[in-house]
Amino acid sequence: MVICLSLSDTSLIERCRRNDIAAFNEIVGRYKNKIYNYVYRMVGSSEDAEDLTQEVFVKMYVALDSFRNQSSLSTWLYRIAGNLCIDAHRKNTRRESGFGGAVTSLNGPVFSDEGEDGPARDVADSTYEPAKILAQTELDAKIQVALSKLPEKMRTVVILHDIEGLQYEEVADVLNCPLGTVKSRLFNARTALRQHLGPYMEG
Amino acid sequence: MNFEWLNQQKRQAECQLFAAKLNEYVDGDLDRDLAWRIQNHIAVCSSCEEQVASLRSLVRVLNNAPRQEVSSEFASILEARIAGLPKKVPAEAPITQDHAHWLTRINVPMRLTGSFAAAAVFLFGVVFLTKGPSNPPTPTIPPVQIHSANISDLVDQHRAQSAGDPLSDASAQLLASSVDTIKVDPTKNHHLSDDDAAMMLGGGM
Repeated sequence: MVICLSLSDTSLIERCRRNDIAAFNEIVGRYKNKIYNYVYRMVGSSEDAEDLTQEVFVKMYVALDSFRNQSSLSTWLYRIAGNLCIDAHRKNTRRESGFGGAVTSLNGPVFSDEGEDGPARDVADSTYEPAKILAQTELDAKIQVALSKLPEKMRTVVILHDIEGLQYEEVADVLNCPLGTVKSRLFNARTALRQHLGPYMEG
Repeated sequence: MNFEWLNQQKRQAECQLFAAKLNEYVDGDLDRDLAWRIQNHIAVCSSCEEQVASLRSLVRVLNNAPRQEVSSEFASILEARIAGLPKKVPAEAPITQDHAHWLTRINVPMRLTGSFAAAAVFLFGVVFLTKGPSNPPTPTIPPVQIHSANISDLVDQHRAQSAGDPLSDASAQLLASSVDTIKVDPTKNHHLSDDDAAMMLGGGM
């Protein structure tokens, strides 16, 4: 594993093709949270997002031989994730929990049948500030609600660019669409989001 | 000339022109010239200035959105799923840049060894072909030594035995006739060829 830490994505893929499980685990370790965050923002449910993220890496493992290194590994993973999200949406697995309902977050308390005094999530937080956490939870919920109101194509672009931090060109590569299309969708997505998140924006 | 009116018209035209570019301006994705022009326009246009400020605030909120993470069981569940998949046949590892260097270093002595081996085989083959196969020694058949005295005795003996039947033994007659034709030096051991011996002894029959 120590050796894998210093290897490039390309080298790790070559090792994975030779059934090197350590290399596969290293890839998962590098990208699991990025992919999960993207998928979670797309589908709005932590449970569905985790299942879909698992599926992303299973598909990656199965389709390793078809990866041609024409794009980066992260681009390929985002592309797989995006396709799976579209498939999930088409299968109509949307739940209330992701859009307008309770949203689970590692940073927030668990809302159980015991009410708001239920057991806290077992996450160490050395800067425990209830008001701050609640504000973050509320903001996170508002962001998720605002994203859910966007058309899927616009939502994808704003998540990849503004939340995941991909450049315009990378987003175009993931979505396999022209750069102008990415910019146009982002323009429209931000215009819509400003209306929903106005109160949470400074100035 | 109402310069104020002209300036107002100019700003409105720029507002329309730059509206679609404000996103890229906020993201720093414009060339310097256009970014400079927008910056100058923002300085005199409160509407666009407000648009830019609003965009920057939105981007800041999204950039700082709480990051979601997988559960602690994620890795173990995934590992179990992967273990349950059918094993792949490892593809032949392509030579990467990391390997090419080492292969170059290893391959040179291998090439030399191979060259020497090929040269040795070649030389051996040349030597083998020029020298010719060493035939296994054939048993030396000592030449037949027929003493003239023995031949005469044999003929006489045969004639005596077949006196009553001079024509029954054609070979004898042939032998008898050949004795006269073959000049034999009784003082020497003579090596008869197979043809001569056959002729004498009726070997043709």
